[in-house]
Amino acid sequence: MFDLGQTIRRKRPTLTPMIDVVFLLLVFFMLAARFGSDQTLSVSAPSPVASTYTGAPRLIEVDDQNRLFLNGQMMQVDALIPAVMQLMTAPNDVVVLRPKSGTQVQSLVKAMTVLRDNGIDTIALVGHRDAP
Amino acid sequence: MINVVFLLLIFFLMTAQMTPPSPVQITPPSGEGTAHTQDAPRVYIDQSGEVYFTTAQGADAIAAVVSSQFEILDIATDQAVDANVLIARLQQLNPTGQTRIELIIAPPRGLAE
Repeated sequence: MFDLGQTIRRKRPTLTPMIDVVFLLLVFFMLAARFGSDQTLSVSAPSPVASTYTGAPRLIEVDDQNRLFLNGQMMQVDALIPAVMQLMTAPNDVVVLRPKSGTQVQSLVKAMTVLRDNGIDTIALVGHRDAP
Repeated sequence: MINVVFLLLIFFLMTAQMTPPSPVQITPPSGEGTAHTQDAPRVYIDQSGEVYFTTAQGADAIAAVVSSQFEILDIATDQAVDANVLIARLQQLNPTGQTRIELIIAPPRGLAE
């Protein structure tokens, strides 16, 4: 009979490279996408009534080595919290937090978190008089 | 499996552009804060204390923020910025005291806290 020649087996183009590209795109977007899962710390909240300062001076300072000072006297956290509480006339009295010169924001945030963890929520931030 | 991969890809494509890139490279201070949604306008403060807001920087950025009179404002700052500079900027950005300002904090990495 006629030599029909070899029958051509049609091969479907492989899907493997396309899947590779899809995986690459997936991994790229997984790495490049940022979901903004930030946490925040409230540093200034408007109060409906202008809060007046009552009672004894409650000045807490923090320096760049994360030491806390109450009214100029250095204290450990365990001693400082009760001391401040004693100076407060009401549980939500304003406590003034002032970083010393050359203190980083990290130290300030740490001090604020420590105070908040111990129940001192109303913190007023003031700058050092030598600040720019 | 390929369908699942496509679904994942489309998901990440849709959510990838949600956070606009920050104009400056900063390392936020680490600490425990409260979770916060992304909707509030964000101000960036870099290591030198310069303020960035959308495309403006410096005094223009501060003027833009003050004139917008936002209710809530996020501040993303580097952890090495001088705290007194930050407080000065807070007072510049919030002269009326009517804006609620939130400081962006990164959760502490690692197991120890």
